[in-house]
Amino acid sequence: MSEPCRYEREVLRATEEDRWTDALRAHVAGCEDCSAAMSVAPWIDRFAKIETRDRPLPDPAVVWLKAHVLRGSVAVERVARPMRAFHYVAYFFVAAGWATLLTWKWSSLQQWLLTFSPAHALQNAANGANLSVTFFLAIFLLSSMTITLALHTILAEE
Amino acid sequence: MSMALTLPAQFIAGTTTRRGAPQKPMNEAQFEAFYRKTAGSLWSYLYRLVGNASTADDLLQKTFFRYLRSNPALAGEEHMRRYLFRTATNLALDHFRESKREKEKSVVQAAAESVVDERHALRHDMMRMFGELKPRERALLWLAHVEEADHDEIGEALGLKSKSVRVLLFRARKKLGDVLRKHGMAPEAAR
Repeated sequence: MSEPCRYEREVLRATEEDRWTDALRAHVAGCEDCSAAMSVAPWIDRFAKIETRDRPLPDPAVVWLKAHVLRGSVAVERVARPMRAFHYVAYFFVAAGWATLLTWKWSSLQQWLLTFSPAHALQNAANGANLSVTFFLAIFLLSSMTITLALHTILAEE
Repeated sequence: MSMALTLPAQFIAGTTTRRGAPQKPMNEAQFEAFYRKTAGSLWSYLYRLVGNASTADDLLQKTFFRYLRSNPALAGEEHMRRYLFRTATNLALDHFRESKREKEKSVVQAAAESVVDERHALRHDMMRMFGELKPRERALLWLAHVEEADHDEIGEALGLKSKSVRVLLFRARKKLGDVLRKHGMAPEAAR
């Protein structure tokens, strides 16, 4: 079984039109491909002719419109991809910044937070906190970046 | 019954332009004419594959979405025909893969459709019998017998070598013969 039988189309046509020649009949008797094709052809022909649609096909104008809307959304998706990648990188750096800062200055931060209790406020009023200006500057920077990133994400989604 | 496309030249912008002239993409009117010419037979094919009218509608639309995305201005008549059937076949097979209950689903869905009158009963019975074949066997038989596609075209639509098409088509015919026999409908013998 390598090449298709060259009489197959003729056999199918003869089956459909019920017009057989002796030569074709003799061929079918000796060709298992054509014999198999002929055996199911009338049934498939009837099956193909039965009405299967109870409603009209989707409107071509709607299909055209949907295809263009989809094409637009694919284009938007493509354009938005680098922006999304930038967001992920920014999330990572801001999260890493917060984690580093809090880990590095955790004990100092705890002490500083305790100074807000009334007892410590009186006791340490004169001493002041042992956190540097750099720390507060870093806090300010990271907070600004976090807020900017959050706003950017919300606006981008909108 | 054949759906071999003989599209007017106006539908094939890419093949009718002067040498060196820029190719225009298909416009809405051209698409509509092309759609009206091909969608019916494509829907019939999809319906016989999936056994459900709504799914066939969805897959038909997806097929044309992909077709429009593929820049049809560059395509020739034969290419467009093959592209549509190949895409439709892939989408139908993907649909079966996603559901993972291909046989049950198609047969059950076909059975679930209303059996109101004799015409519906006949359709229901035939769909049920056809549903006993695997999706690829259904596609092979439909393309060979109804669309009158040659083995190369069938191979391209189903992602098979044309040599394999002959063997698989023979098996599909035998299997359908067995199904018909099982349901008391003896296949035709050589006259």
